Amino acid sequence: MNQGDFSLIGVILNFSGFVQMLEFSRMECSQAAQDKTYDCSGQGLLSIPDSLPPYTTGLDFSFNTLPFIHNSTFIKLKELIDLDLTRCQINWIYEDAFQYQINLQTLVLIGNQFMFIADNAFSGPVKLKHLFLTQTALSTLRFVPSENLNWLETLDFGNNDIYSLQFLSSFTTRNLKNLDFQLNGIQKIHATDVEVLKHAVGLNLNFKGNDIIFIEPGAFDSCQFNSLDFSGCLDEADLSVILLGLKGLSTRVLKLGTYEDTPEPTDITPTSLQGLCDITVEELSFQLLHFKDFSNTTFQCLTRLRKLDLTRSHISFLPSNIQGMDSLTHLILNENNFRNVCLTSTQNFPALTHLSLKGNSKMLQFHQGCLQALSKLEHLDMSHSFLQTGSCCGIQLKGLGSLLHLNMSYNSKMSMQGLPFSETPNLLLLDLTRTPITYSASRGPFHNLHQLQTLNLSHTYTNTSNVYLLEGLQSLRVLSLQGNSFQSGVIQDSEMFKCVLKLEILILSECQLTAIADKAFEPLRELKYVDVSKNNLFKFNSHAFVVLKDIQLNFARNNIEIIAVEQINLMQPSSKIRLSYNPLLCNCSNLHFITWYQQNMDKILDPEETVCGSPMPGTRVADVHLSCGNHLLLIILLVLSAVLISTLAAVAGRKCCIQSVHAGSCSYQRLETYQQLS
Amino acid sequence: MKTVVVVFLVTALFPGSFEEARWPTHTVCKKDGLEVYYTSCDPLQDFGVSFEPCPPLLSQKINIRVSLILRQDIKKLYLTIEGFANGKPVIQFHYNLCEPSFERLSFCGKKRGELIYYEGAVKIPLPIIPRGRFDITLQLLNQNHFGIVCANATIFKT
Repeated sequence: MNQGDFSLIGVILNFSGFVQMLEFSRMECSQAAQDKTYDCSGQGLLSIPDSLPPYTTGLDFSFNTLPFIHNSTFIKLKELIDLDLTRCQINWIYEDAFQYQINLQTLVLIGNQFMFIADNAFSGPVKLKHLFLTQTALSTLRFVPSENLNWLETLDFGNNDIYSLQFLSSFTTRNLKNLDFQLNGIQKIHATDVEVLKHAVGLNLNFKGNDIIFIEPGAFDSCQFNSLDFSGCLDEADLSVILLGLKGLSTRVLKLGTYEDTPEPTDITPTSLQGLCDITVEELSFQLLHFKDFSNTTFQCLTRLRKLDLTRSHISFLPSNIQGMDSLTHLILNENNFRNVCLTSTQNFPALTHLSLKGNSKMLQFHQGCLQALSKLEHLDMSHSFLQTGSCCGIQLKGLGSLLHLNMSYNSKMSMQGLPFSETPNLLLLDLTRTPITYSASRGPFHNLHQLQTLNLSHTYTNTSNVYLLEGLQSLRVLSLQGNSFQSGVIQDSEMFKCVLKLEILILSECQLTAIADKAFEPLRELKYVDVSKNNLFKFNSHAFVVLKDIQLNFARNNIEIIAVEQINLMQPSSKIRLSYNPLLCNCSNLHFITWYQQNMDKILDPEETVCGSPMPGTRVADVHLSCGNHLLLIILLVLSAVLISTLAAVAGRKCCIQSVHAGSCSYQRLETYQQLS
Repeated sequence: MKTVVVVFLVTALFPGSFEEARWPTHTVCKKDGLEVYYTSCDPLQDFGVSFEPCPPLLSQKINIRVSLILRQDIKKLYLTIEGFANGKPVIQFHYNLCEPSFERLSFCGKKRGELIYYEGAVKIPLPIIPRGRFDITLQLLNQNHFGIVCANATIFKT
């Protein structure tokens, strides 16, 4: 090896050092979305980078490694307001760890396995508001120093091994809004433990997933919470034990249900619900529970409820003679086993505004007017429920004069005879997605729905040739005809749209369209969004629209190869378009469009996915460079002109000089004469 | 000789240029003519899965254990499975595990950074396992369409 070889080795070594240095600085923090906030997440860092500016207010340092926090760890970041130390393998937080962070409001310590937190670890921040100690291997509340946490609004102890609330009293709860003990090992709750929570008005308290055995009766007496969650807690205890402990409590929301992955509790009997008579509750959830001796007695202490959630509680009927449920406005009966809508006994709930029968597990027969007592009902959801209506819907919707939202999507075939929604003239939203419908022909089936704003007929096998289809829908703003086919695959004319002049959003994707005729959307002057994606369109026809101003168009996933520039030029500055997944031609036959595209990138919503079909398949249209015939010609002409001009100039100059030798009028001579004169 | 030195130096100093970052393929079951492997397709991390019995009895549930760290919270959690038998798509399965209005499972709503360790009996959404090669892509997505879990699994049955 000679000197040259050693030089080469030297170059390689230097270069690798340079690259490693580059990689180091590349690994450090990037500026996050908000001003003065930095994201150093997941960089394998072992210390706070010196490069972070001292004015940093927000730092995400999660998924790094910081085994100890000393009083000097954060010495340089005195302006911090939000600090995220999720999963930093922190084991030790020593004294005065945050002494410089007087403005700190949010401290996230999720997923660190603490071995020690010093007494004055939190002494720096003046008003720490949100402290997250989720999954930090805590076994006792005494592990966390409470002295400097007087202003806390959020205190999250979720997913730890805390078995006693004994030291909760050392925490100031006056400002607490969220206190989370979910998924711990709390078995017993004593009155003295939770005495301090009487000061926390409007608290959200979470005991989800604790195997509660015993709550001292009246432990929560006079407490006024926003929500209390005892879901997934019923493995060990009888519900009556829990409810006795909650005697005298006032809470807006109470969750008593369970989960598919927690042990199945014993069946709920009317007796076990007696304790609810001594609790003030507005919203109650019994999700996934099983009821035994289900009767009107079960509802004895539920009379003041506003909202009842019986999702998947394995019921096939509601008792017909329930008394006193005059306040109930929301009833959720999703994923149960009703065979007939009449078995929901809704006459018991005259004040209902929201009824949900979604995801029923059996075929749900709906042939009668059994909802007619619900004169105040505004929202009815019967989607995904194997709904069997036969001829719909005059009889079925009888009495529902106040109905505003109706969802009967994802059901079996419906036959709509005459005026199906004669009983619900005030409808604002109607969703029939993926429910095949047959209509009787004569007039528009929706012609009495003058208030309707949203109509979803997606994949309903609707006959779009019926020009009266949209008759009467004078308020319609949103219309989806996705997945319905048009005669010959073409939208021939604008007849259908003459009735929906206020339409703003029109969805015609997956309609197997090959063409849209000129002026097809002419009546629609308020259009803001039109989706014709996933069709077989081969042409971008802007003449279908009256004007392309302030409009978003989706022409993605079609068969468009060439776009006439005079068509796309009609798009006004405030409009945007998607053209991705079209087999666009990237050769000189499409040159004018490509030029327009590259000059109007601000109008393109999906530039990354808008690529050439051929030639250059897969190349982004934004990156295409073409040299087409006329350009080459122009260059040749320019070059020739330049040559000609310079030749003429040279010839003229020579001529001038030859003349001056004879006539003395050369400019050079004239200049000399002038100088001599001055 | 020169060339050898240069090549050696370059490979030693720039290892990244010759390797592709990829998570290892794990063997979950290899018994009685059935082999089940999986690889994480999440760029951020790997995760752990095991199930028994191996091989599973399709008419009955299998007990699975799954362990993963959340890189985002799961206010919503949506499962999608796509299966290909010998290269042809045969099955598509979608299931809503968590929604704010209905939390099916106790870990719904867990926060970024938390470990999820799930142990439970699960029914296999397959009528039979076909002979030959069966490829599955499994994804769990949250409310932001962010990938919580991404796995490519392969089943060989002889």
